[in-house]
Amino acid sequence: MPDVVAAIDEGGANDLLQDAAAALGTLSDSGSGSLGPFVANWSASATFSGGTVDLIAPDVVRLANVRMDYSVAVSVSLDLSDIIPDFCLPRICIPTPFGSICTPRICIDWPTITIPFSHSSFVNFSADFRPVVTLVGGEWRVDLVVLGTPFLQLGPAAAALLAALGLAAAAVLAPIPFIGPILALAVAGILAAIGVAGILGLLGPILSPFVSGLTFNVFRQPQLFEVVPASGSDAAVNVTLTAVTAAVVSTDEDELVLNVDFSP
Amino acid sequence: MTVLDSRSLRYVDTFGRHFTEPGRVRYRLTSAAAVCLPAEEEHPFAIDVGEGSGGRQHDVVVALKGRSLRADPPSLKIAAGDVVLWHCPSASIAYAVQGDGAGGSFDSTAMTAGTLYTHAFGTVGDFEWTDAVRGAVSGMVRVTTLDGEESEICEKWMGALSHGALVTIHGDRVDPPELSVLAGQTVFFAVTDADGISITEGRLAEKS
Repeated sequence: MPDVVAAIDEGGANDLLQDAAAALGTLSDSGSGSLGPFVANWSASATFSGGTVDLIAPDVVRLANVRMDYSVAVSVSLDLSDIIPDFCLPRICIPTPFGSICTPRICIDWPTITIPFSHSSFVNFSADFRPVVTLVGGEWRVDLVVLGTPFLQLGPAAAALLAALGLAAAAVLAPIPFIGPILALAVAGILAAIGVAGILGLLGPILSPFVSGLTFNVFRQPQLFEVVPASGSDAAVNVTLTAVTAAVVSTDEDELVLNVDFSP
Repeated sequence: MTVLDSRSLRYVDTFGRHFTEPGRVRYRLTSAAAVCLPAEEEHPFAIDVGEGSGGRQHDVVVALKGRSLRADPPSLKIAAGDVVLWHCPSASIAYAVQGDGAGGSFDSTAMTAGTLYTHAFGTVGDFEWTDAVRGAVSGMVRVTTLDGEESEICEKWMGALSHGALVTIHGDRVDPPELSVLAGQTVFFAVTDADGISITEGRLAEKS
């Protein structure tokens, strides 16, 4: 029989998870990856909130409709020559005071451009978590650790990000000399080269790690701590938590149960 | 960079000289940033102007070889009345042409009678130009775009690109002082009389 047994029902677990999600704060990361045929640099951040807890014995904490709010900023560099075909101004001849003069055919050197674009939104997901107890650095921790990689429905986000790319590309391309009426074709060419598949290919690896390693801390306690008597002249005593276990127990209702053993 | 500035010739520009006097002319090509510095090699390129009725055009391609700007061909035999036109196809080079000999000196950074500067305007906008050397002349080129259906515009635009416009500068007279072209079109600035002027976008002349 453990020295201390603490149990919370699904309602309590809900509150605990909300606090744990808030304590997690904003997660952020950056890196580079493939955006269709191009390489893009990115930075992203995510926060978690919401969700409904379903406790399933013996060790599954199922969270439904967890909301991940995220921001993704992407910067892609591309050589316009890969998108727009070679283009040359024709030879032009006009009569001048010095006779008829012809310019040479002048071929336009399309530059390499950098297009920054960003998108903020949220995605809901459901996932199963398992309580994991660890003793690290003299502290007992009970974390809920996600099992596997939850599925993120990123289709709408990819479409929105592609639209943001289109707007950003048009703004970057507009001042480029000689692009003129080719501008719309160039934007279409960039969007076609990347496509929703290219955006998904970047977005998935950016956002999935935020949820694949998701861990909510629900309990932490130093292994050794001082207990002060409520009254009287007794001295304070040090208590050592010798063992902590966590499990989902199903009796008349489902509960997340913490068993703690200690020694003086 | 595709700025309007005859002092710094770019790949969308050309510079021309109308040679009217028979004799030998020597010239140099220099980086636009080094026009006032002494040349490593004094006027290495030659043009022999012979007697004749003229009227022909000779193109010289400017290229960077090693650390020097080279002319191809490095020497020319032309007839009096012919025009030599310099052009550099590389977008990374800004250069100037300076020469001396029969018929007097010529300089793309300070254009005198018988010189020509062409510039292809790449972007839409109002380009107020001035003479950054003496402030002797000025003008305006309004660069516009076409409106309409995308496919129709493209076809019209491609057709329009093969037409140029001419501005003649004679003393303090600019004809026409203002003109309108489409983005991508080329304007020819022909100097028939001047003490040494430049065709420079106003905002650049202010910084000079």
